[in-house]
Amino acid sequence: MRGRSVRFRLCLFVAAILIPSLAAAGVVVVRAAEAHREQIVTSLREKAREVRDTVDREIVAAKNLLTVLASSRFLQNGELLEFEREALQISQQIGIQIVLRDSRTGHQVFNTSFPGQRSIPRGNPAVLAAEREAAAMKKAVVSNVFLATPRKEHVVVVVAPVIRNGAAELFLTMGIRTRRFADLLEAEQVESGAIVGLVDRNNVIVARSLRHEEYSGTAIPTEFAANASAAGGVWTSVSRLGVLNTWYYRRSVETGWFVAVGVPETVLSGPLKTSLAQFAGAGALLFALAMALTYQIGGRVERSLGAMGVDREPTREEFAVLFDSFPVGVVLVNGDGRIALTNAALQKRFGYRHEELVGKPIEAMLPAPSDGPREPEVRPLAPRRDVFGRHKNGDDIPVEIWWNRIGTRNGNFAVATVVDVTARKLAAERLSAALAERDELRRRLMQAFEAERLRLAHELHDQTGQSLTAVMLELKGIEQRMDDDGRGQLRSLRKQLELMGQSLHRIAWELRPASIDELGLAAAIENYVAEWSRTAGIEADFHCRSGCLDRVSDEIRTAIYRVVQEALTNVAKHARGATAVSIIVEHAETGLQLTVEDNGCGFDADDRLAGARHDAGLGLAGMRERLSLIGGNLIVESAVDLGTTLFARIPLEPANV
Amino acid sequence: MSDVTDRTRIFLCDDHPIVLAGLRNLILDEPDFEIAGVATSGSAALKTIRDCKPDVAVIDISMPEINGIVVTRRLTEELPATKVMVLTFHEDRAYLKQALDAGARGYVLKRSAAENLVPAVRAVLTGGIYVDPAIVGLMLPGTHARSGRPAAAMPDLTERETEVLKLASLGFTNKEIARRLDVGMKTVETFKSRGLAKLGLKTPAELVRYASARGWLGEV
Repeated sequence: MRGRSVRFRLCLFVAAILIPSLAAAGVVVVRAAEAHREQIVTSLREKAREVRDTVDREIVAAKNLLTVLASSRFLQNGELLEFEREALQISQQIGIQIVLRDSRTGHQVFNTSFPGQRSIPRGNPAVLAAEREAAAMKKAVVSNVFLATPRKEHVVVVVAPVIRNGAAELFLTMGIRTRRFADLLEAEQVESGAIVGLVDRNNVIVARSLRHEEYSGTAIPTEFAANASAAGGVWTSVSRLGVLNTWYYRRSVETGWFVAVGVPETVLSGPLKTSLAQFAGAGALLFALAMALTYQIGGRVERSLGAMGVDREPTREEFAVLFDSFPVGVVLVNGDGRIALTNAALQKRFGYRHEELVGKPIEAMLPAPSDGPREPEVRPLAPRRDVFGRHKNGDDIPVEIWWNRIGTRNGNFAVATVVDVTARKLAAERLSAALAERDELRRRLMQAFEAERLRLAHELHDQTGQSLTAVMLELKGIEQRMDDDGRGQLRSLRKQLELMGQSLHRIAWELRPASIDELGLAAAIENYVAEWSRTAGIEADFHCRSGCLDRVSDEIRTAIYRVVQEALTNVAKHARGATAVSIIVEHAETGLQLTVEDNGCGFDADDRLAGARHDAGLGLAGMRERLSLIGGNLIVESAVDLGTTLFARIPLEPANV
Repeated sequence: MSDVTDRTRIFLCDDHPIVLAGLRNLILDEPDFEIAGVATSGSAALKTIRDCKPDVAVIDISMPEINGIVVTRRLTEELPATKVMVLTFHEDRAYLKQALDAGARGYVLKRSAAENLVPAVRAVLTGGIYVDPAIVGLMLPGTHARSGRPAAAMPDLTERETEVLKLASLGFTNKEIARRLDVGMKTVETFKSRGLAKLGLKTPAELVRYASARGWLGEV
């Protein structure tokens, strides 16, 4: 795992947890805000109902008053002056205007605002409509709002019919200034920013809790008309200032009017927006902080992670796993040479349990470090080979040990890494056994070869040669008894047989000179050297400085003779320009040494390729082989134009030296 | 055997009966020769010859147990009057040299015995030494036979030259000498050839002989 992706993954992980949490919290916040809005709306609706009831009470009170007045005795008896006096009294007491109008004449009978005057102003259409309605319903009704002419103010009137003789001829009218309603509305405790409005049946504003004078008497937008038939509801409007308002209204059964409580949309959705904004801010801040923190921590985690994904400072368990998973044995030895710690590989190989080993002297299992565990000086990385460990059952285990010293707060320890080399040793032993067997076979082959040559040489000498001699002697005897002619023939026959005898001898000598055994190696070599010198035409000087050549084994003598043969053959073949050869057999430090030196062209012994070529070409390989079979070796020294020297060294058993 | 004294009494020894019979016939064909005795082994020969004391003993070299050279040496020592000749297949100068060194007066090759044995016996009887004509050339000084004795006076070798020559005569390789003396190979070669030239020696074999004479070598 890459370090970078650790940080990245950590950030992703935190984000994956944080984002849904924040979203869930956001939903909760929105719900809470909506509940709050719902609460406001409920209270607004409630307020609309309360206000409607207040207005209704006002109107009902007015109606009741007029109804009582209409059924007064003075009116029923036509004592209009008396009634006027009484009405004036009431009007003065409660501060209202009462008008009595005669519908037949259209004249006002009296008007408490103008006592004593008999004006006949034209009836306002709204008043007339109210009178018609009151007459039809035979009870008091309330009019819509209208602009009252004398004082140029908006008023509504409550009209009560005065029923006499089953018909309504007179109408009692009480005007109520819309200001009165405005005062009622203003008195209501409403939500801040909320407006309470009163609208008549013609969709004209009767009163308003805010800026009443501006709105009173004005019609509201037409949408209201479409919605107004319901007993209650909600509608929205855009105010003159462009503010979006939501209105909650109630219809009054008593008056047919509407009470509407309106709030700007901002008031309603304000809490939602505020909490959403607050939540978004807080959430973003939290998210940013969390990510920053994670990023920071991720970096630290990254730095503290090793290649294996475990902490660089391994836990005890991790350490134990590592320690025990080593394929080689590890043992920790304290300053007293006692085992402090071992790993599983070691325990397994040596057949102990951990508890058995702790506190045991290291010598019980492994040879202690050569310089002792207390010595400060050790050479790490230099394994001790050819040492043995001791298995619990007493078996020796060939091991290689690396000792290493470590210093801790608890003193000095030595750590040994122990490698079991049983398999390696076994393989090496097998290899060397195979090689020894191969050498032995080659040696036997060589011996058999030499024995065969010896046998053939003997055969030629002792059997064939003797028979030939006998034949010739016989022929000689016969020859004596022949005539001259026959003698001549026999003599020539004997001459041929002589030549045959000569070549028999030559062949036998070449196979193996009998002189090696009969006269000794030195004599045989000397003879060979002289023969060779004669045929090769190269001066040869043989010197033997060893008096005991014939005490060495037959095999070695044969080998020396053959090496001399081979070496001289090489000189004749390859040592161009050689005029002298020197052959020395002498005792060297550990055995026999044969030196053959020529003064020929030589070769560059430093040139390895040329060296290899000469090894093969000069028959050196054959000599090496023969020498190696008797434990000897061959050294070749040569330089261009300085000749070549062969040093054949043959170790001897002490008894033979 | 007859004790007529003017006949030459000849003893024959060969481990091959057929050859022995042939030789016997060959001798008996000569009227003035007679057979003093025959033997088919070295030890038998020694025993018989001591009794019969022949004029000439013809001994085969290659025989089991005691070979002809040894028999020759013994007879020469014990019976100086008896002239010993060897009869052999071997045409090696080594055999010739050894036989003559052992005291043989004649060296006859078997392949030419039919022709040469009788003349050889006659030559030996007259006090001469007979060597088969086929190998007489081997007696001439060989190409190798140079004594190489240097001047007795010690030539003025430098210390280094002496060291190098001593080590060389002991059989050390140039490389080994170079390592021992802590000098280069070329130096060793130079010292060696210069030293040899000063001593008037040509070959290492001569050097070894010289060293042996100077007592440079610890032992024989």
